[in-house]
Amino acid sequence: MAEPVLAACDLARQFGGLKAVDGVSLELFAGEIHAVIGPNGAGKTTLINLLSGDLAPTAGSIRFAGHEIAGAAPERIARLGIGRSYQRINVFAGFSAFENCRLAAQARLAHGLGLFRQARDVHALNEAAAAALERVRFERRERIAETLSHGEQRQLEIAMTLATAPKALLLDEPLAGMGAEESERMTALIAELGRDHAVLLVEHDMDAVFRIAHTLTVMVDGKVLESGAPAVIRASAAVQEAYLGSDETAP
Amino acid sequence: MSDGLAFFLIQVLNGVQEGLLLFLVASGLTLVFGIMGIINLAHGSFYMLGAYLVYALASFTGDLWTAILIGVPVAIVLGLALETLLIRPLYGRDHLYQVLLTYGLILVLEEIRSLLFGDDVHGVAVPAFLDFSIPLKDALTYPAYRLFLSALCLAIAGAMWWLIRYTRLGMAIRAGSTNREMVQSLGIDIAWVYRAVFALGVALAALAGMIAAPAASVFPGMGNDVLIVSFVVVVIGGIGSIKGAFLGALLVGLADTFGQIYVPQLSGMTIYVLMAAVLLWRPAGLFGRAGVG
Amino acid sequence: MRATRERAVLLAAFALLALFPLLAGTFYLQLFAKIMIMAIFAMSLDLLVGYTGLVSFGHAAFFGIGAYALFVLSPQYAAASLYLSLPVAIGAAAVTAAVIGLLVLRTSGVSFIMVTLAFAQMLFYYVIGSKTLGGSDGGYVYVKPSTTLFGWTPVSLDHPAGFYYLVLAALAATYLVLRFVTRSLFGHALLGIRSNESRMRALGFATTGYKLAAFVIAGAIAGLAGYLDAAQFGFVSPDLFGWRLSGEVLMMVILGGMGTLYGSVLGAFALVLLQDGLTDVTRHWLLPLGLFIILAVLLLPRGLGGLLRRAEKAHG
Repeated sequence: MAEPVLAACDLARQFGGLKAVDGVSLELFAGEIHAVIGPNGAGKTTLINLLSGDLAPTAGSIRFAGHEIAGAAPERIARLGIGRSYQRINVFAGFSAFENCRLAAQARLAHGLGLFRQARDVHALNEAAAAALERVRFERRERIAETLSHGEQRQLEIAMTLATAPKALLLDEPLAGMGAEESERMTALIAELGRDHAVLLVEHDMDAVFRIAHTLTVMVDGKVLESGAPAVIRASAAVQEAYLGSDETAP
Repeated sequence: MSDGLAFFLIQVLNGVQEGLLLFLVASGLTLVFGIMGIINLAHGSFYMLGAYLVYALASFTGDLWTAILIGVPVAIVLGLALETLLIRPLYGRDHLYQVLLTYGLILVLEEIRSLLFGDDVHGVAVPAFLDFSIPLKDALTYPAYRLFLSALCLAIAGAMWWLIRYTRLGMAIRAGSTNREMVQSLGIDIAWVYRAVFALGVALAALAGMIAAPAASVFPGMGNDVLIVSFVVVVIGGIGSIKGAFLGALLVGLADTFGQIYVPQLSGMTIYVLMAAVLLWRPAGLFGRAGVG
Repeated sequence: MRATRERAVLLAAFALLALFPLLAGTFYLQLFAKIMIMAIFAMSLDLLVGYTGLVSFGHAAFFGIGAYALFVLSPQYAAASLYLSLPVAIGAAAVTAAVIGLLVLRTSGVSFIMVTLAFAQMLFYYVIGSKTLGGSDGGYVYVKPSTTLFGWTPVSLDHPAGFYYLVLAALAATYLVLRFVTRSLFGHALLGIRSNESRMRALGFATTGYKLAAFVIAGAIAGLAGYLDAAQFGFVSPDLFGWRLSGEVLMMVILGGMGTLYGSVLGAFALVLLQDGLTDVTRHWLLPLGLFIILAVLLLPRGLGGLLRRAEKAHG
């Protein structure tokens, strides 16, 4: 069995008296899509925030690429090779889609402050940005980000993350608010990305999750209820009761 | 008591009084920041206007209290008018436009004061029944008016605490400082809350200027001086926190007073050194939350 | 092409400014020199406000440092060497900016505005309390700096035209440097920080380092402006650290149009000329100025530079 790319062990995060994440352990492997599902308030977004460095855990450890990253600053974690996309669109609104991706690529490719290199001259950046946009099949490169449709903005989110050439992808509800056709395309894209990245996917869309995920972890009230292959999870009575049966329709 | 102790006590009383007065001004500032997200550079101008207003009214009516009684409603009306005309267009806009507009407002208010009341330095008479000194030791005495001032500020602070704890407006203020959208969803008219908060801030600053007038002189630059020190208080205490403003104001008042006496080489810089220390230790302030502001 | 037209306009403007001394008398030479000094000051603040999104209300601190550096380095009745005193002034401003920057960049938003103001005020009080620096009375720079190097004097700064050309050179150099910086990868990162700092961090940028670098560069250029101001007027006072000056330069940047560099130059011209015109009319000229600012904020969301851009779009 290969080594996990990202391993969280007994991760916990408390807000005052509330245990948003309580003793969560999970592993992410290369070439695998690991979906995290659960009802609202289960702590899924908090979990992603802990892994990306936006929040520091109150207990537990996170190992990535041989480093202990629990509580590390977001920029350090990003540089080590973890990229994340956001539940609420979080792009550079006034810039074009291309410029968004170029900035993302700059984070990885530029050394130092880049005071002495004129932006338009750096071909590597332009190529990386173009490649990222192509990977997500985004065509209207010159459009300003805030004028894009919701689905296009979600595509841009993914493209930006890809432009940083991450080893692990943390995707926070990438399908939220998408129509049926857009969802199809995005799901196919994520499945494709799963082949050469380690992907953690937080999602509510059960159709998509059961189709493309290799492993599922079900979270309820900050804890892991159950974790395993999709078929196992689908058959589990506990999961049915806690989540699948109650507010989402099981596939 | 010994000479040294009496002297020390006088400094403590001075520092506390300065701090309590500062609290009146800074609390309005921090409320407007925290609840409305507005930075108002003209806040100090209300302090100055209060002082000049009371000077003008007192020479007219001959009595400080009547002047204050007339002055406070005037300040409230001014606050409501300004909020409607100038502050409301600033909601949600970038801070720097708020900075620019309220900077323009400082200039306008200063010139209005200059036209109405002139540019001279004035004194305001201490009310007769408070115009005595309490003896401490030998020749050392303490002015009764200053003690009264501290007591009055404490009373107002108490009234504010009661307002925030036990009234609907207070509840809206507490909720609004953490979550503006939630306040609206609670069915409270946010526009009314904002108007009330702003008017309250203006009234507090003006009132502070009014009651401070007999203890210090009334001069053109007094508003801007107090504004900058209030900023220091809010940074130290934490944005949006009344508790922080109270503690911060006392710290600043005491630091300033003791600094002048014991470290005169650093004249006037003590409070900024204090602020720098807080920034190094706790950037969000003593009671502030990271991410607010 | 827009880029070539922009370049043509800038070259034309520079040419006009360069030819100006042939037509203008001493009064206007001095007025324009003053405007250009403020333009340098404003452009430096634009790097912070317009490009990085850092609203500093204490930028005068570095202007004051530059000015007082010349005062300190000028012998009583002799000229300081331009080649020695100017780098020292810029260096002193840069170092001060680094120290203050490390402290103020621990905050953001409204707090940042307040602490930048507070630190400038701290320097104000320090200078007032310092006898060696002249205290509240200020100090005089009796002789303008000398450009003599190895026995050769290229230009006499006592000559209004000579000083004017020095300032024009400084303005051109500042503009070119800032243009280079803002078009570099660093400059693009600053724009990203202004747009969405948390996303920049999430992408892997160490944003504090970028902000600090911008703060230091802006402070150094402000020091240059302050030095030139002291050289022009021959007088320094604590007011050079004051919040009024910080407010004035911020006004120039915002009203002129942020994030364009030339907008700040326009703002400087507009505001100094406005001030000059109004002072002739009434003692209470701050009142119409204040009203003008208030109205500008309420009615012109994008500043004068924005008006220009809109006019440009209208004419195709």
